[in-house]
Amino acid sequence: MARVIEYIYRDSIIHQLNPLSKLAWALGVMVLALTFNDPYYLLALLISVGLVGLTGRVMKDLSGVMKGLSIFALILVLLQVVFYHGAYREAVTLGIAMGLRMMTVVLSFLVFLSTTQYKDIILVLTEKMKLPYDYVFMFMTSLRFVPTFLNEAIQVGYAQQVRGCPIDSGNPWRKMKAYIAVALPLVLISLKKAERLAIAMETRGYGSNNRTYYKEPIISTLDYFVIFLVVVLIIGAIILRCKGLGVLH
Amino acid sequence: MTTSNNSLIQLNNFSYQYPHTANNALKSINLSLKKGSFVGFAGPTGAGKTTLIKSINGIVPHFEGGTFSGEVLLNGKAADTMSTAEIGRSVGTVLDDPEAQIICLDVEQELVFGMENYGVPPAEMEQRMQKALASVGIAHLLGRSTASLSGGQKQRLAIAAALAMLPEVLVLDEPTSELDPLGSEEVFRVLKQLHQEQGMTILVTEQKTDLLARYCDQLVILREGEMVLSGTPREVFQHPDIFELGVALPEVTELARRYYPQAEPPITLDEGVQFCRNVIQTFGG
Repeated sequence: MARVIEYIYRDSIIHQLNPLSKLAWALGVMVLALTFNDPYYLLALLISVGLVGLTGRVMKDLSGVMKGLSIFALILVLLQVVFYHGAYREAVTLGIAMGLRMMTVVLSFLVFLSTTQYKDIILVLTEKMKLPYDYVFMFMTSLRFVPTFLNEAIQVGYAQQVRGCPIDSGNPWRKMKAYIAVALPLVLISLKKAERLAIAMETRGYGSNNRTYYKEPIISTLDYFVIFLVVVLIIGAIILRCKGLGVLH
Repeated sequence: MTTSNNSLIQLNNFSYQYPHTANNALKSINLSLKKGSFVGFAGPTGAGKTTLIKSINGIVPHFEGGTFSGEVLLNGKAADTMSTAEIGRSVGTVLDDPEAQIICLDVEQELVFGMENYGVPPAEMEQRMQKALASVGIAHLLGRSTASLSGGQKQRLAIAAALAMLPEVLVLDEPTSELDPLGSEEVFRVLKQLHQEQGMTILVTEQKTDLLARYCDQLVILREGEMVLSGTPREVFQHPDIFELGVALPEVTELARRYYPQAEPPITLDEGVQFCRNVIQTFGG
């Protein structure tokens, strides 16, 4: 899981797109996925997202996550079957729709994150969408530290295990209790890391006024086309939905 | 406030106490450093080395809180009246842990982080970045992700990132504590080069005194928050009291001083070799 949200260095059209248009695309996919609940419509949407991922040459790296997601989707279907009050067929269809919807939305954001550099996301969110820099930077940095954090968790886990702490044994309840021995040091380590990072940032002028940006990603004609397409698709979807297409009753 | 005899950094009777502690971490430090000096700070753990570095780059007292008396002057201006970011323009900082001070994901972004914060025009960044990278000898790493660098490379990147902001002083807090001997040598060679070629003022705390002996012009020994010795590395390592101060001497110096207390001790390996030759000759002849 450590590599899930890292930027993957490849050369593709998707990588070269402006972050803004990729973000618009990911949000558009989310809107579309929420608009419909017909499994066929959602499956088509998922396939289209997969094709975008293929164009971006990142699907191979994301295949592990996709496997995990499909298991999760299967559980969603089973839950529907067990708890849905109504016909069996209806429950299965609804479950499949939910599973597909979840996979589509997650995959689209994974494609977005793995083909876009953090610095560009920060730049677009602050400069184009006018969100406050502090919050955007905080959010993006926390994402950047997820792999470090997971690494740290494994290290602490080993350290506790060699001292005889039963982390990988016993029933789930005992396991959960044993994980406190990992969680506490992990929190302390992270606080320490955060403080050091803050010092490193302060000494390099974080928080002084008048920021500049080294490279601003350009908006090409292709970007305008993508954004235009997303808008058209969303409008089209809403019209279809109003006509009762793609929705099960 | 007096602008005193052209010293770049001046500490006048500076004492500092961390919040929630009983004792002063620094006790009446008086120190005056000229532009272009290369100063090493040594001393046992808890001697106040890090605190001293932090009081020069403004982390103490701005970030840490606590109480202080006396003053720290940077170019004649009191440091406590400036913000950390303001101080950061003239004082570049490198910390001990290569992991915790690399903020960004790739080398390029790491280098421009500081410059972006200070509003350097984008056109100028490119040029500064190239120069900073070349100064520390890692120009070939520009396109790399920071996670793929070795410890020594990361520390050199941290130095380059500080240099890109064109500081007047570089302060380094145990920059080699997480590095192997090769990496440590790498870092100090870069510092020496910066000092010689660009006249950079360098302040560095370090446990490995053999590095300090070879590279620094001035050595300051701290103990329990007090400055106990100051002078050239040779003066300091030859001082009669040095054994009581909890500082590890360079191995050659220690050996020579223990066996030949009367002779003038060597402080570098080369001098040590010469010293041994002399000893052998004396016995042989």
